[in-house]
Amino acid sequence: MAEMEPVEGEAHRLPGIRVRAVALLVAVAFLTGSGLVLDRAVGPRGAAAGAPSAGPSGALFCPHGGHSGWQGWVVVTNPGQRRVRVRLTQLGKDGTRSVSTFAVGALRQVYREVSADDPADATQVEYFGGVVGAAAIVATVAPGGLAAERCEQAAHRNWFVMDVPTGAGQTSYLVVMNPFDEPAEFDVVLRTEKRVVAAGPLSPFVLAPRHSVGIPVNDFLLQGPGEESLTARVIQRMGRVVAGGLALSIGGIRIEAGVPGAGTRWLIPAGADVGARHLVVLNDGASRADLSAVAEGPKVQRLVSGPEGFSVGPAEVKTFQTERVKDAGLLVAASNGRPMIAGLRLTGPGGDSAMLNGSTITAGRWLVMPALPMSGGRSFLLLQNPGRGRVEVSFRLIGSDRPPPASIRQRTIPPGRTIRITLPSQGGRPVSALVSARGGTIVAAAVSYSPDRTGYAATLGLPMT
Amino acid sequence: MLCSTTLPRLLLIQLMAQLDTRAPRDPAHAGKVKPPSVLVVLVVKDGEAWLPQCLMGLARQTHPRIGVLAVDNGSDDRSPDLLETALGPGRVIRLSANAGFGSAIAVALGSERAQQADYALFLHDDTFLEPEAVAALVEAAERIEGVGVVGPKVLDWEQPQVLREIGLATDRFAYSYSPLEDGEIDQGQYDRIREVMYVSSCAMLVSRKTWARVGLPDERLASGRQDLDFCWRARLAGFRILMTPRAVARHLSAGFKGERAAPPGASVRRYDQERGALASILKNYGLLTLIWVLPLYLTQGLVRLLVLALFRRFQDAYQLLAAWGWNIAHLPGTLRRRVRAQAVRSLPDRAVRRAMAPTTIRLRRWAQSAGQALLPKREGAGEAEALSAPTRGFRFARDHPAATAWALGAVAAAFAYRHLPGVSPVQGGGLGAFPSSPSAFFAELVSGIRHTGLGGTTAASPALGLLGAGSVLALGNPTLLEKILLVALPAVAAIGCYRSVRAATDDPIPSVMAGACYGLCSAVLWAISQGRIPVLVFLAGLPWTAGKLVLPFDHLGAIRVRRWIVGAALGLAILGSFYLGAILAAVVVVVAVLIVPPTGARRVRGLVLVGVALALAALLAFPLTLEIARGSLRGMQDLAGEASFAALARLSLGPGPGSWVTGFFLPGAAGVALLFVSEQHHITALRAGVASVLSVYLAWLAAAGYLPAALSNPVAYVGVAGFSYSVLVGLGLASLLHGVGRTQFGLRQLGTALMAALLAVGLFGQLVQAGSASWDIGGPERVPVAYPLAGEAGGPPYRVLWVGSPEGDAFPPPGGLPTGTVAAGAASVRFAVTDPAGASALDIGRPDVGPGYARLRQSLVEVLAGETRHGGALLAAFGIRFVLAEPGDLPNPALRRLTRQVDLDLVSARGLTIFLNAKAVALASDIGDPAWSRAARSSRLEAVEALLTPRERPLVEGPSGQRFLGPGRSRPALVLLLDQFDPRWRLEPVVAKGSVEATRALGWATGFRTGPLPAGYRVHFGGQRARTMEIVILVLLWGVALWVTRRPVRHG
Repeated sequence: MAEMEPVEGEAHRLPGIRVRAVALLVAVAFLTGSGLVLDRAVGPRGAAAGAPSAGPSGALFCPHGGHSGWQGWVVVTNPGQRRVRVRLTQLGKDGTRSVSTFAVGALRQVYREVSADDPADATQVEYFGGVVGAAAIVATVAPGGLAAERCEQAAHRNWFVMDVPTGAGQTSYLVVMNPFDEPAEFDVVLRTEKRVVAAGPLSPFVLAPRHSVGIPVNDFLLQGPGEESLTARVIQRMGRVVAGGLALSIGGIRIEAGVPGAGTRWLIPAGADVGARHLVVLNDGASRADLSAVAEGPKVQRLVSGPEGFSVGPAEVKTFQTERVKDAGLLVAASNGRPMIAGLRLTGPGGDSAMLNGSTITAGRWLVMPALPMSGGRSFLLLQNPGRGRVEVSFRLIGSDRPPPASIRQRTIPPGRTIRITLPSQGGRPVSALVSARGGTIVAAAVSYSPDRTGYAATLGLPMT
Repeated sequence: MLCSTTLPRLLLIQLMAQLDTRAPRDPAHAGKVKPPSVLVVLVVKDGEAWLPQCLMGLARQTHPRIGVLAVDNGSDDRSPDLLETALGPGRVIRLSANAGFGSAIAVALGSERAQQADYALFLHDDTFLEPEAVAALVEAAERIEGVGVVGPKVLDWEQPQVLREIGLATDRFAYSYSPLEDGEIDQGQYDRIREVMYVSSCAMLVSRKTWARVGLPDERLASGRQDLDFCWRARLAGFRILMTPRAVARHLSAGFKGERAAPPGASVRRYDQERGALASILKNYGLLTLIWVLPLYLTQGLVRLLVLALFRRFQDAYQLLAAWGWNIAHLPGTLRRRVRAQAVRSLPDRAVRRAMAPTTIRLRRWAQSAGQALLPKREGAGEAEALSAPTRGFRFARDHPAATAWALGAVAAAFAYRHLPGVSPVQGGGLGAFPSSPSAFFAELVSGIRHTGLGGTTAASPALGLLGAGSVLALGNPTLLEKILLVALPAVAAIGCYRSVRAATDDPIPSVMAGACYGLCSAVLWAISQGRIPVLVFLAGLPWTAGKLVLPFDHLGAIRVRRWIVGAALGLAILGSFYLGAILAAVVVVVAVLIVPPTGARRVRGLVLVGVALALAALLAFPLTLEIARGSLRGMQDLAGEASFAALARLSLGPGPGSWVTGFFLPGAAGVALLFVSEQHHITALRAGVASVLSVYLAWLAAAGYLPAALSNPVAYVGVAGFSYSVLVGLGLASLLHGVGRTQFGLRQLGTALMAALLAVGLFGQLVQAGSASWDIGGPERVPVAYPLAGEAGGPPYRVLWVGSPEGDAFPPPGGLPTGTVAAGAASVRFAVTDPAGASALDIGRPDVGPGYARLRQSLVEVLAGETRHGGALLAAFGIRFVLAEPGDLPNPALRRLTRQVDLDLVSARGLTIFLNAKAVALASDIGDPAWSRAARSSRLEAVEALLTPRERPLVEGPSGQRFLGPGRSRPALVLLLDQFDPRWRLEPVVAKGSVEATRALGWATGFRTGPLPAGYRVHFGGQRARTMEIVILVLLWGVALWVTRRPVRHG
């Protein structure tokens, strides 16, 4: 190799390469290692939880409907220790009918009469500063008609209304409310054991903001022979709605808030009923649902679906007449894990009926609103313990006035049992109950008779999670 | 040098004695045709040093009839004595003071001797005439018909082979133009008689008819401008102006070269030129021509004025203004002279313009200058002819790395920005919409109230003033400025880095490579992709800032302290006013200097100076600085950057071009450079290494949320890292390349090869990514198709809330950049509030601070982490009618929280998640609902969430946004301005006297509780005067700072 010139100048000489290389390697190793530690072990700092300062607020939606000559009430119960401001907005087919505001004191309930003379009538209960529960009660002026529903907490994409019968002597309305500020567009699919009807005028149906509608189901589908149940599904396309059902028959009236979705297990704390019980099961899925139904009574537990269970095909609704066990709640479970919706049609002692939709969840605290108008009647608490352990339950009764109603002593619910407790009244007026469970979770409902026992109504409680 | 003051006086006198300096009176010659007589008017001023040579030249003239009349213009040296000795006292006119060339000529031509001459030869004392010169001049004048003025070929006094003048031209605006190149050698290429626009008065032969018809030179103008004006007038009068190469003169240009003692205030070349040009235009153009030339002249003059001001050439700008002022002051005299000039006109302007240079001549000149700057002459350039094309290309690249980089950069930019020219305007990323007119920038700057976000009185950034000026320069089109900035700023960043490395190494190739590395680094590409013009300004200014901040530690004796402080403050103020994070970057640089100081550094003094500069920078942005100091330092925060050490180490701040792993080339090459950097650069390299490592760690800590909000700016840190990497690459390359071809094969060659490979792969990868042009910014198609649902909803004015994942950066266009984050656990979001048009460039450099933003954060916490389901009501109190999110960007818990709000309605839309808030209140309204009045008094959110949509009456807004008109009403009501509270708002009844003071409403806004006001009322902002004063002070401060750091007058 030819001899090369040396680089002139000390300044440009490359000094101490070995030392530098080692130092550089150490630095690179440190950087890489620390980088890995920072990325994988330390990671970004988690976002701090917010520190909200305002009390809760929310809304409850009561698509109760009504009919000429009916009366309606909304009972708002405040189970908390703070006064809650409430705004009641009544909606109808022509829009907002009225807005009223009032306060509900701590541990108080307030009855407010609402319009219930049209199938489109619905009520929105907004609360500020605390959580309340609300139920809607409608009653016919003539004896024999009493119905109640728990008001729903939110709008959903789907609503299943399990009982809008249109058989002989029966008239039903699908009550859909849009208390929001955007127009809503939804489809209605009616389903019996034999037919599925998606009527043109209901596909889609457009509901203006702050309006509600009572869709006469009889105009679109009349139940024929072999069709024991008629269910409706409301499928939201745009906007938000809350749906319920209103059924009139010679025997009585029923209202029911829709069910927002399917589940694999339904708990229906039923009781204080007489006569036959009809379990309506809707399978909206694409495959068959195999079910078992267990009646959980105060003392016994019985498999009422028989050894082979019930089976509901895809996109099918079926009605099962279940063996009657007195004051027994029902546990309906899909043995093959397919989601479905279950509701129980009950009959009161006076022949009036009620539809009690089940709950997919259990909770440690339930707020149970009365299913009676202010004029009173008899009211029962039904508490179902679907768990495997005993549950201690305590009660706090909430009335409209001071002094508070007399309390109920603590009870124990054995596993897989349902107990019925008669609710006292406060000066003859119904009360709400805040039920707290210890040792497990339960489902709670209220069942009521009108004073003359001709009216019968049932509502599911509101889980306080 | 020809001229010698030691020339023996006797010899000179003898020579002069030979001259026939008078017209012959011998009757014997009376019948013959006499040659024309020439009176040489020699104007002298302090010419002792060269005057003998000039006189010698005259003495040797071959023309038979020459007389010499010298006018001494008040010389302070021995020139008058010399003249009298050579010519005799009768031929010397001594003026007591310097009356100027024109006046001297006037005095001479008014003398008796002049009456007898056929021609006058105006001659400067620093001009030497070759013996045949006068004869040749006269010959040309006599032989060619219609000649009024003749000039010689002028050569350089000291280098006679160099051409100085062969006749001159002007452009339409009377700016001189010579066809000669600088230093052009006389090879006879111009040896023909040329008809020209004018010839220099250093040697100008003028016929008697000419001066008798057009008058004398305008004595008011400077000598260099009188000749143009005189020749122009002669031409108008129908005389021809010639240059004859047979007459040769050599001109010293003593004044220009500084060899003649300059009079006080002589640095007024631009003044003289402009004053003369405008005066000539006013005098010599016809009226019709003036109608179009004058506006054009003024337009280009204004642009030049602005450019000069922008580049801090205030003295030049002042001279320009002074020249215009002189012309205005002397307009009567100019008009009198115009009447005289136009009275003898015999040619139309178009005939004169034929002798003028084309208007584009200046552009060509500038291009030539730029070419010379880019392509400096190299030795041995001619050897390339025998080489193959690739070899020639390689050699060219080696010899002209900057030019090659420019060319490659231009090609890459053409690819990378190929979509930008066609779209108007650019949208997307973090780019705020530029206003339609430059005046909007200035209006917002001086406005006392903020027209964007949640309003309030947060002062606009001084950056708006610069953007406004830039928009004016961009033909009054801010959209064009936007594109120019996007294209030019990366190049400026690269040039800045190039200059920094060049200053350290004086080696162009490493400097170019460093510039390329910086200009193409992932951070710069990301900033382009996001349309982050403020970040690009910061990255472009960072090399300058870094270099500036090191100086007080390094060479304290070499800097002028006052100028340095003001200059650094000005730079920091400019960068900070565009991008507050620049201050953090400056701090990192200073910390790195403190850790690795220069040899013999004076840390304390350096720190003090930097501190003073920072304080002064704060003063230069003082209304904004006060707001930031008072409100929140959150303005320093930038939410860009993912907490990934690997990504930040390769300078990747987010998805988009530049985010490839090839970005590792830069830290890799910087590491290699550290290995090989020479002793000469090792301190600088070590400092750059420390700065880069420190920056990457800081960037990670900022992105991961471990630093306070005021320090959480990954972009600033990554910028410092990018610049430091690039400097390291430059220093390493400089060390490696030095002598790489002359040393034995070894580490130097291996290192060079490794660096070359890394840089080739990396830069190619970056170029490919840039060339893909997959920028986040683009045309209107970037705006989600559903946006008009929210952006063009109509009705009274409203606002739009943008939300998204806290890790994200910009919102979909036109949402712009987030204001900050809301901590709500898993439902945490980043957010921004804009008007329906989206983010605005008017918010550049201005932080979102004030009670409104705090209240909005609080409200969002309630919605996202609290138990409220009336979020719509909470947001309605901010005038927010729509909540927008990019599908997939919003965390599911947050989406659920928003969806469950009773009064927020999800609107079906494609490409955007839109929640409608029908409760939104107009931004300025009269609300009669007592519940609103009660809620306005309360600062609790519960008071707001129960509110219903009021039956409001929107106020009528005035054009400035500072004045509203309210309707008459008979009941008490709440007048609500959803602008951040400021007590300087006032409500005044139209009829009654007095005013209502503003109160804080809804915890943050401005409200007035009033009784019945049947005749209506006015609401106006009373703080504009204070803001105007602030702006005046700000302008003065900037003016002083710019003056202190002004650049010296540039000659030529």
